[in-house]
Amino acid sequence: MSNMPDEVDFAGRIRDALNHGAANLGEKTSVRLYEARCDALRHQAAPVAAVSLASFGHVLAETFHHHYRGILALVALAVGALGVQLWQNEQEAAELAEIDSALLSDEVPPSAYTDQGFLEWLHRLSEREEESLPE
Amino acid sequence: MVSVAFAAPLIIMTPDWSDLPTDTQQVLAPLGPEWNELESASRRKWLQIAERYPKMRKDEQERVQRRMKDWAKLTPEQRKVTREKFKNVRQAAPEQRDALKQMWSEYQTLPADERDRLKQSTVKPGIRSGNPSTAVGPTR
Repeated sequence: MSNMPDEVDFAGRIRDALNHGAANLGEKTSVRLYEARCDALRHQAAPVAAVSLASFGHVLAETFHHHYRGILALVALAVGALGVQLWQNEQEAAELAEIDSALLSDEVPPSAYTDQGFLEWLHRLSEREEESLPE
Repeated sequence: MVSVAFAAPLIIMTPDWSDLPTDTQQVLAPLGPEWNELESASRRKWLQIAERYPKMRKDEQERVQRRMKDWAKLTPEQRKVTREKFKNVRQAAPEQRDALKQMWSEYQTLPADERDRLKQSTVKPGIRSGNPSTAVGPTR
């Protein structure tokens, strides 16, 4: 504790000496120091972006280069499967549209085919006809 | 294949009501309120029916428009059963088809209470397969 004032005094003297030295640098030296500092800052940020982009591109290129046949086959397969799916959908829709158009436009309405009263009536009529037939 | 799974729904998707051409909207007008709830497969079918519509006779066009709403309200099973029966009738001889037409016309002239009695007389377990006029199912 007793030597604290001495240490503070010593540090103060060093600071004064450095300030004096910095203040008396030549213009050329100051410019070079400034440029060096800017250069160092530029190099500090650049590698991060450069490395990440480069590595991503590199991985992509390497993957494609090594597996391009497989990738192209997969893409072709996917396009083909999609085409088949679309074609099947259209075919199914066309079949249903054909039958539904005929059914809905017919003189006998769709409800007739499931009208229990009508079906029962037809059943009774056919039974009566059978009964009236000569044996 | 993963790309297909993601791309397929986008490409196979069918237009919403507001995206339909005006003439298609006019043909499918009875389905307008429910159109956006219809499944894609059902929409595709109705769009193809709309394409066939101009080639129909006037009386056929009127029937189609009058019946499409009730038809869309049936359950898929009820539509399937009706289509199967209709297919059978279509394959029958023209005389039989004419006879069915004639019978249906005659049945319509029966008094309402008699038709109700006929309906009631079929209400036995295992016989009735459902009344399409009151059935509610996924619209199609």
